[in-house]
Amino acid sequence: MKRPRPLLLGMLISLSIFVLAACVGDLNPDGGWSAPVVSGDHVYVGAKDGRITRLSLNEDGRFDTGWGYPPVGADTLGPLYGTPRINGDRVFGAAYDCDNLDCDAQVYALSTDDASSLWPEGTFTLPTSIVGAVAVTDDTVLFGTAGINDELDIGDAEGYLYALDTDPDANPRVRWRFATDASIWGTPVVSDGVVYIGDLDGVLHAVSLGESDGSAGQEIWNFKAGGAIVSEPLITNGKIYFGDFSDTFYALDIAARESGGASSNALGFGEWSFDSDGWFWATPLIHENSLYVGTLNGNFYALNPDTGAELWANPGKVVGQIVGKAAAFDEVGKGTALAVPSGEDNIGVFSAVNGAELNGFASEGGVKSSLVVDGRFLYAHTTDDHLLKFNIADRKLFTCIDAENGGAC
Amino acid sequence: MGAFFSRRMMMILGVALLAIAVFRFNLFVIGPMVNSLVLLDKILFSNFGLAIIFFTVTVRLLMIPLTVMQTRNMRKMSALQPRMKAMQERYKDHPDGRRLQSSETMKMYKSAGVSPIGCLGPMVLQMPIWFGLYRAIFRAVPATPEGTANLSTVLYGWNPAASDVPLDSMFIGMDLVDLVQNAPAPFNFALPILVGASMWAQQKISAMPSMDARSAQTNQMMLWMMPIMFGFFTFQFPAGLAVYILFSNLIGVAITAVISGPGALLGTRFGTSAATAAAAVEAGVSNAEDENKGEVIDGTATVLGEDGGRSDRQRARSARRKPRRRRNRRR
Repeated sequence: MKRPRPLLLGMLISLSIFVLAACVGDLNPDGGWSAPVVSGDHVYVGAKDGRITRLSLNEDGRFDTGWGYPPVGADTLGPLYGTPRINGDRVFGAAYDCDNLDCDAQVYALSTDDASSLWPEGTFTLPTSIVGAVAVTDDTVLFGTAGINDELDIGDAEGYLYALDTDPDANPRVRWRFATDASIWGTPVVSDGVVYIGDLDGVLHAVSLGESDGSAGQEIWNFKAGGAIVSEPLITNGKIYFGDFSDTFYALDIAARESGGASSNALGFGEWSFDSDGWFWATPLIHENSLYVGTLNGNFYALNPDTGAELWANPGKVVGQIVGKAAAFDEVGKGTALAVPSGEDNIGVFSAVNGAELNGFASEGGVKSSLVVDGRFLYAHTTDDHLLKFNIADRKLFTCIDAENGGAC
Repeated sequence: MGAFFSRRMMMILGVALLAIAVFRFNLFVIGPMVNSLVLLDKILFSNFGLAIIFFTVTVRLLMIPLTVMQTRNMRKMSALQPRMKAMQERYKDHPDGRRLQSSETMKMYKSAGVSPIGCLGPMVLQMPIWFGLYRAIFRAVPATPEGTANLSTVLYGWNPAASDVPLDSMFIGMDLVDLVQNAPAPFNFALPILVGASMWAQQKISAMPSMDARSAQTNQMMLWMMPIMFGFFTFQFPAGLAVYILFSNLIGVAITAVISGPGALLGTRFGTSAATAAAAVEAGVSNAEDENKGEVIDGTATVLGEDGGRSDRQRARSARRKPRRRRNRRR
């Protein structure tokens, strides 16, 4: 029996170093989960290679090869997590890419006509990361960021809510920004002159847009949840709904909060919380006075929006994580059904009545982005970067397009 | 300890751990480690650097039985080296030398109670733990949305710290997830130097001396090359990994020093005749037994000759059980 040779040992150690170094790749985002958006005659989608592309609805789902940003051959935007927002004839959104932890984010504004940038100098860039989508009003683009690279001396807060002027003829100008004590990965939501956004410390901020009284960028109220907030809140019937990383889903009364009638870390009258068994990342869905939301554990809940009571005896269950928003559609003869994206498997479908599992959509892969129903079709963007178009009635795949190059899957 | 960690037990443990590593690594290794780190972060004032250090030290302390076994085996192997060399000399011109040598070697190991895989076994057992710990550190502090979402699948529902995620990765002014080269001065230079120095100390204290001049030269080269290489690689490592390697090395040096004596770091552990004799006794061989066949190498180490096939399992056992008495009697 020979002793292990030092050279062999050295090779083993070197191999270990390479194995360890290979794992450093975990520091970089790997492509995002931007959801498709149906607008007019097109479906817009952020491909995993960092380009915004679109599909024509009029020509049997053909890829619009003449439309895309950045143009083919130019540097791409980087991983897109946020869904593009269409506002009239403009497309807005954000992306970011990192070299290890050295990240650069870009906010884009495009023409729906020819995909050209509306801003003379192209995108608005910041040395940070933007995970959530943007929110758009008539003249403002709002988005949340992580901390800004402090070497540039343009901010030392852990996160920011930015408001950009969207004047199409000028370069974007920062109207105001609101500093937070933690990074923001969530998506802002605008309602009645107030923008709502959560941060990774678990604080939901309500910030004034100041359209009438000059209070732009001022915090009106905030609420401390039990865990980080990354999901896009849902506002309906005077309530704001959101979930967090403490497995809790909340419903807050906006009017009571604005009037100072509720504590920043406790629930007030008419407000409720629901304890689940997993983190909330997906945006909730409200349909026919029922609230639907999924967790990263793959459970899908139906709740009473007024009380938070569970409407089904048992939650629906999909294999894998629910990261994207569910979509509702009418099932002929069976009432409303809910399509739920699974991060690892086929798209699940549940009856809105009792949560019974129905025939699903064979996505042949995970879907982490939100689902979109338009007419008789359901659209999904898979983790393999395929844009799928299903016929809802028979669940059959109508079209499958590679979002990166427009080829068939 | 020796009885408890018998060769068979080691084999079973090794196979079991390997199976775990291959099939259920996330469930049995990564999961508990990530949960421990997240919990420690909460306990240790939301300081992930302290959590890494505390966890690394704890895991190394828990693995002391394996380290002790490995060190003892190395000492026994070291004590047998002169006899191995003598045997090689004896059979070098023999037509069936290779087979005879192999057979004699096995007998020698058997009689001395040395497991040929005794040095390698504990190391193999530790490998999944090291890789697991490394992976756990970066799964506990993910830098991407995908990593954060995946973290939820690893954290236990009953872990009270699960809702504190994402954790703050800053530690004494540096981001533990960022590369060492991006860390602020002096950490960007101090960490690679400290990692290299601690690795050198770790190798120095646990190195097995070689009777063969070429091997000794290679050993010497490795003693310097590896720390220097690792030091340079550290620039490209995330700072958390550098902290982990540094403290793992430091606690390794401390443990080996306690087991072998602080002289080991000065290169005197295996070099003195007293130490060699002690190792030899531990290996179940005496100097006097082979005094006619021994030779002196390097002017210090007493080299033991072969025992002419007189050794047997019983003698090895008694040697292990009553080394002192046996040594005294032969005086």
